[in-house]
Amino acid sequence: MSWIEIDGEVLRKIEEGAEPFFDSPNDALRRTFGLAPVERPSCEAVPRVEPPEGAPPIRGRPSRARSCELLPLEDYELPLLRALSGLGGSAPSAQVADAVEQLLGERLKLRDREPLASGDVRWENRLGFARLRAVERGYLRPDSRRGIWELAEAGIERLGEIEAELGRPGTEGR
Amino acid sequence: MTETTQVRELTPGDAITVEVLRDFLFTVLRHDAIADVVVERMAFHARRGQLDAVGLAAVLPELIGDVLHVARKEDWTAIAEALIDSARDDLPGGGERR
Repeated sequence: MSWIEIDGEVLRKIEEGAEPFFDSPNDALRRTFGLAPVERPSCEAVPRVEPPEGAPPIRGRPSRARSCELLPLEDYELPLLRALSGLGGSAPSAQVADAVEQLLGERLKLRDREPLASGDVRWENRLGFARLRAVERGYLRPDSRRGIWELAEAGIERLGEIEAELGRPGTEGR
Repeated sequence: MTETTQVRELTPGDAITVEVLRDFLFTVLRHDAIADVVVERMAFHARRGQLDAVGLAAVLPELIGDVLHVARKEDWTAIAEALIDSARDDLPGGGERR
């Protein structure tokens, strides 16, 4: 990894190409240059930094999870679309969340199920951002009533594409 | 309650601990009526590199207020009726008006 200095104007351009909360600047630049997403290091490869012995415990706020400790946000897309489709294309967000949890099952990691300082469970919080991402991609309607998540035409098409791809040999278990 | 517990006074003699108050606010902000909008606001400001606690904090009361303000008298009445109905067995005189 190399370090470079950039000015504020370039930083703003990178931010424009980045998906908030999802991307690092490197992710955004890779997408700009048409490069494949970088492979995240496995958790085993990244040693966890523990506080020094005798340090007072940090209270009230769980530590920030490393990306390798969480189910990637892109992995929420298919369960979200499937859940909504199974619920008739539109449903209260709590019902969608229940259905998504069923579909994700044990793919949700320990840290995904951790409670956050806000009282939310981490994966439910992330599902909110996955929903926003799906709205921005046109898969969910942006104008559904509050608390109701609704598939858009593009979402139905996207689900069909993924399901068709999963039906092809060699794509099982996605 | 310890002396160091922070409280907010609603009226003289009626106080709420900060812990309970913040739990109430978290509960409201987690509700389906608001949760998506909170996420959208955070992403909107983050995209512009402008997400900070002070800025977000200024918006949150508005988000709660917006929902409260669209509640009509009939909504509050429906809530009141349901509350009375639920408590009828335990209310003096069955909660009937005299």
